[in-house]
Amino acid sequence: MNLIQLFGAIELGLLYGLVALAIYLTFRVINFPDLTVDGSFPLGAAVYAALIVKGEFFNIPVGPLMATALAIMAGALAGFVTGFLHVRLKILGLLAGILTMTALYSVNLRIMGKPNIALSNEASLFGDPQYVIWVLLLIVLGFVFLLQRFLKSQYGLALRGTGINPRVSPSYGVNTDHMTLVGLVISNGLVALAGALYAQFQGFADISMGTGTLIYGLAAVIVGETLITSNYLSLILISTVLGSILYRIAIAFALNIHEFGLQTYDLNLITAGLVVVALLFPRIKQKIKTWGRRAS
Amino acid sequence: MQNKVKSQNKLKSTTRVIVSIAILSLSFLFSSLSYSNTPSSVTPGLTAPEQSSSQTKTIAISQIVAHPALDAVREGIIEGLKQAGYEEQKNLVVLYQNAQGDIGLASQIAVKFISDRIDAAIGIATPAAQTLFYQAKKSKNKIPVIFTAVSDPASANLDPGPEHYPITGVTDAPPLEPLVTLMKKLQPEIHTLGILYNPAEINSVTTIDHLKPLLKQQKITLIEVAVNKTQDITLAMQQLTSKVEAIYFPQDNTVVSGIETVSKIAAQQGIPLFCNDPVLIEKGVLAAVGYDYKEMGVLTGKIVARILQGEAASLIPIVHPQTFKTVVNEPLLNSFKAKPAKAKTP
Repeated sequence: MNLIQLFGAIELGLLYGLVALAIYLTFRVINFPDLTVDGSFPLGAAVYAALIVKGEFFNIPVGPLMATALAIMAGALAGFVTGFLHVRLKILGLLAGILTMTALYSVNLRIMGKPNIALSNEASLFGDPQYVIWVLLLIVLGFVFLLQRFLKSQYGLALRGTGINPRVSPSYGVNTDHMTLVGLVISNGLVALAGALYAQFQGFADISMGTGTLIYGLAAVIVGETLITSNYLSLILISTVLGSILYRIAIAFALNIHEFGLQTYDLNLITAGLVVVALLFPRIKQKIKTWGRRAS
Repeated sequence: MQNKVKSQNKLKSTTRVIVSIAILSLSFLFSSLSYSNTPSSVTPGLTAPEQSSSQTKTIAISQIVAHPALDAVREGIIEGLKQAGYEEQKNLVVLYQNAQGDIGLASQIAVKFISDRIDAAIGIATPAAQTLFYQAKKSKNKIPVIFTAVSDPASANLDPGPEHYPITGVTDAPPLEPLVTLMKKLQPEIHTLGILYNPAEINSVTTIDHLKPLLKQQKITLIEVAVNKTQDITLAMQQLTSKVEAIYFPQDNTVVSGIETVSKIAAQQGIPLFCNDPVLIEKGVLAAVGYDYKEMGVLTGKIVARILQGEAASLIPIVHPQTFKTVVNEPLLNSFKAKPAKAKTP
């Protein structure tokens, strides 16, 4: 592993950090297992790519910024659909997510018209490729700040209440159905943003790029939680992003396994192993601490 | 008391922050350690002592997914390089990674390869080539990129562009005209052709776009049925066999993975199968016109060798494999002749 690889891992980690934040919002804050993300990630990429290639949206010229904004809106709409299925039509949350994700596969193909769209490099929010990491850092920190402000507001507290105690919250005047919907809308909007950024960062959108989005995000949230346990909201959000970066660094390490005589096929096994080590880390640390105390 | 607990908690979280920072810096340390390791020094035992290390070339192959045809391409590449004088464990180091279908992983593999001081990067199938090309353009080293098994390099943006980036490769757009001619020869009275494919695969979609006008010329009606996963094949085939006189499928990973199901149902209903992969004749396909994927790999390997010898990649044109194979399953054909397919009512 070298520096370029490390920076590459950090770049991807930051990008998937947005996904991790979104998944933190659904799985942890409103306590809703949302599987829509595997569909809304490519949705963001698809909307962005299709708009940039077409160059206009209802006769309005579309640039990278506008296309990204529309991609976020498309993702938010996907989140709304899942929420609607769950809240209004009373479909089980897990199934509602699966249904939307399945439907999005066809929708994404419709939007793109073909399974893979290549973009020329000029059309991107990042500008010069060397700045990608800084732009991403800025975007991620911006969203950490916004989310922190939002979750601390009166409205955000109601959102958190929905997840923590859905039975008592209504008696305090919180409309939990409404809050679940809002949580899903914000979360999937964020995931679609990550998808749109990924498309401009890699120069193409592909129908199969959503595979494993949820797993990455969830792993990032859990790794982050294990490394930093805190009651400070901003620290929790940052740890989530950090978890995502560490996960990518684990993969980068695993990609270098040939230096230790391991095979290509072992990659996923090594990655999983490294994540397990990261998860066990606090416990090992605790063990060492108690052991040290006993010794002294 | 409470204050004490709180401050202890705070202390705990601070130590965790410190620990995670320590991990990060540790990985930095690791990275700088192995930074000095060029691939040739990683495998010191592989270089023959009399050869200078500058003669040993390192190539990297990124493959999007494990698949018989794509694996055959990769084997072909190694063989093509061998024919041109680059042999593994003598003067060639081959790095290989498989993204296992995950595009995020493919781009991380690309970052790794391009930063590894390699002499050429090879991408097998469209997304692998795209991620490699993107990273290569980003780095200053101008590592040549060679793609293979890509049906439509132009629409995938795999071209040198205005800055004349060193990229070239082999495209596998299948020979469709000979296939339609063969189809007409074997089944002169054919009116409806069924197509089975996965609309999520760019190779299949471009192939079908090219096939449509050819069939129109021959006045053959086309019935498309989409399968999104291998499990959908049974239903799709049952639907298709009741409507058509023959079935064609492109070089589609989903359909090829379920070829046993496809040929079983086709045989039950007495419907002949056509495709572009000669290897599939053994699996119950009536006739195929196409490239041998191993040969395509050999061709790619020879191009890689030319680039390793110093030729500019941007001056090597993108090539099609020169020869294609036409194969007909004779025993199957005879059985069809003995028992002609019944006329279909739509």
